[in-house]
Amino acid sequence: MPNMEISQHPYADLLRIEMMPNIWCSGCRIGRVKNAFIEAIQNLGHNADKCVVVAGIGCSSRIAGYLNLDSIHATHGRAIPTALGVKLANPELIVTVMGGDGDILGIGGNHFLAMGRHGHDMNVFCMNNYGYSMTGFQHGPTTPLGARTVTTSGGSPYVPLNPVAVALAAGYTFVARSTSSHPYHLMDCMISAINNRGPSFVEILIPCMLFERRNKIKSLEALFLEKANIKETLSEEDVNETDFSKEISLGIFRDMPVREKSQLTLVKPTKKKAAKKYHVSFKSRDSGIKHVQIRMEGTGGQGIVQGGKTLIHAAMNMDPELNSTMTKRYGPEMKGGSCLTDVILSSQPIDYPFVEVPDLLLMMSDIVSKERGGEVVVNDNGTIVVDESMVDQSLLKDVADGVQVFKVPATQIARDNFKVVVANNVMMGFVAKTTSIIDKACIKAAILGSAPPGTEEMNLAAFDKGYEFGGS
Amino acid sequence: MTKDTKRVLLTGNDAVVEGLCCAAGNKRRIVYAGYPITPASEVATRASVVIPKHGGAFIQMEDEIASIQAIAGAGLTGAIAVTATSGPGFSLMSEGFGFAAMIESPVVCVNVQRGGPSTGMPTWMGQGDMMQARWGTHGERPVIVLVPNSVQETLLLTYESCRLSQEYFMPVVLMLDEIIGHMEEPISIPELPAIPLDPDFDIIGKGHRLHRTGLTHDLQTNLPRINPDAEEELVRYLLDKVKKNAKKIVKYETCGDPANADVVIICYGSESRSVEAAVKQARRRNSNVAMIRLITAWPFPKGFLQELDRIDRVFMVAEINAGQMRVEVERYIKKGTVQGLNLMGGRIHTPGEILDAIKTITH
Repeated sequence: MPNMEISQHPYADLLRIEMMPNIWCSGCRIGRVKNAFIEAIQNLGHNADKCVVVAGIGCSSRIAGYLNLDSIHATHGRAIPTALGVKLANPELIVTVMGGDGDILGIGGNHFLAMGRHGHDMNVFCMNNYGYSMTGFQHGPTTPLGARTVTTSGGSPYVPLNPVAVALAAGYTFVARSTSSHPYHLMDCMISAINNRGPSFVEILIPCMLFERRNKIKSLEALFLEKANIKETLSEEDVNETDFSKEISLGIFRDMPVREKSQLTLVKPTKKKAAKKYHVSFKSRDSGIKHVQIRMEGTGGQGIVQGGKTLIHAAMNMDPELNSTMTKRYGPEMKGGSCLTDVILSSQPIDYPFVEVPDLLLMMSDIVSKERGGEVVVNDNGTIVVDESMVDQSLLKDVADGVQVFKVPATQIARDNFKVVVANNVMMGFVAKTTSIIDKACIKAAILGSAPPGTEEMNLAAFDKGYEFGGS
Repeated sequence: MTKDTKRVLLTGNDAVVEGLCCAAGNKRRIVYAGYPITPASEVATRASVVIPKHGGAFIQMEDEIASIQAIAGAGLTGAIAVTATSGPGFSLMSEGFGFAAMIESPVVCVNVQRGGPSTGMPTWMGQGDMMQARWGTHGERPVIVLVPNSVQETLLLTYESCRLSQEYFMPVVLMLDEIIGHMEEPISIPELPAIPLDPDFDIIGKGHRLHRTGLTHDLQTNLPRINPDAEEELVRYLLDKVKKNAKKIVKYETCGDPANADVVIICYGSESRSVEAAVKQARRRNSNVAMIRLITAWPFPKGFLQELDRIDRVFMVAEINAGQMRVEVERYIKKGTVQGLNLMGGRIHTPGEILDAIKTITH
């Protein structure tokens, strides 16, 4: 046969000729896996422009550089998330991750698990050579018990991880095992994996010269050929493959259709109430507000943050030209800790976003004040509105003479008439009546705007109850 | 911005998502990959609702390393690729930034800073990641870091971050802090042109069959080329993206007259709101004080500072860390005296505290 031009090579279109020769040791079988992949793509007849290979770091990850495809050679262990980003940006693409056991199952183990859960149509072809070869053969997640590596010179004391078992548990919709010594079987596995519409995983056993030399194994390839048994159907027992004493079962462990969206049985379907239309009309006007600092404080869960939002929305309704800022302070716990909301309304741009001394202080509980050692901070000519069902009244005895104090059992009213959660709106109604900072209709419209569907009536009624209480 | 645009009440974290939608318009696909972390979680919460409706993809990844890698992949595939995190996650992303810079993927990372180090104070602000944003990757890489100080500006700078990342093909970091991330302000959502995909950008899936590698590579072929010449050529090329365009990228804002003030206060982020309040008050009392607020922390406005450095006067750097940007100011202020006004985190200075600091200098 005359010498063939390299451009006539049947793989020429899919190889980066300029990258040859490759870096792999003579006797390494990663090249065969690369060829099986090329043949799989050619057999499938996919447009190679739509095939993307993403790899991490390691001997087998170098495949990405030799394939004439769109390819990414990412950081160690991160091929799967990088590939997922490609897939999300363009779901049309056929995205395949290639890498070794150390890259995919060791440092990238978390990504390997998550990919099964995420369920995207991607393929992971993991070449398992039982250790970290590129760095001189340290032990890896699949190193057999007792095997010698440069970091386990007395034999590995660690129980190896079984890649197929993990993939099955992680929810991959296609799971298979093959070896580099069974190239046609491997290619068939790859074709089935690419055809599967969910996350697919193929474990590919490959021999490594470094492993053979250190463990005085003459030929792992001969061992694979001797022990391997390609099966049509595989049982649970076939998953087990940990040392070379027993048979190694090859084949497809799982090939199932992509998961349907299932109904969550734990959650009862919510009844949608017929949406009754509520409407509160209000008039915007020049509020005349120069600079007002309002603080609402209480316990997490009392709707303190919502209260602050209601005030700002109300102010926006009343005077669209007004500047406003709201900041909040609370601990890491969602409920039960101290919580305060600062609202500043101003005709000028607001620089410092926190209330230093409030003109209006709304105390839904006394937790903040008690944390401050019992101090109640308010402007000498300011106003305090307290929820008397929640606040220790003795805290108020030291406030300046110029301070106006209004009391409303907001939580009590809410509990007796509605639900405790609307206490903040009882407070708002009371504030609308007793202070003249924001118009009643503007606050009601703000409450309506943020009330969850179905609770509009209760929230507005709570406001009205507070407003009535202020008038008695 | 027109006055009749309806104003909406949003937090800084919410505004990030609105900024992304402005950047994508109806032309570009957004890919948001993130991992929940206080105080940045609300970005993901809103993104998970808004971005799919906008025709983009939202995914909650298994960790921050996966998040940055995913958007690095998405950026190369032509998406507006974004993640948001806070200190601990930002640390995990360090390697990914270097990778994104190396493969020239346009990505945006939002860091809502909290008090550190380690777990620190998840619900309280900090500004301790300024130098990490500059240097927190092994090797050299180009860096653009923007620092907004209001909810409205967060939206605009999110858009700007996307624009810069797409213009220079590199990661851009938007540094919020907990105060800006959680504060609510009424803002207008402006109509901005969608950021176009550069037609010369060889995105994945269009038949270019290009290799992108974190290894040192040849600029023409993109294939690995590992030798000192290749490293020299590649790294200088990467750094020049920002170095040669620094004048175009740098942004800052002033209050008062920094050229003639007796005291110049340099600040950024939420701290600048206190400083501005204090500077305005001091100026009303005829104190000759000025403020410089960094909008781009990196690249740093070094030319502007060098011009100001004519006589001995005080440059005070007010920040919520032990003096990270002060180090940078000291590099350019040689005739003037540089001093710091620092808190370790949790809160910003009150305007009163800044006024006191000004008084100790001017008296």
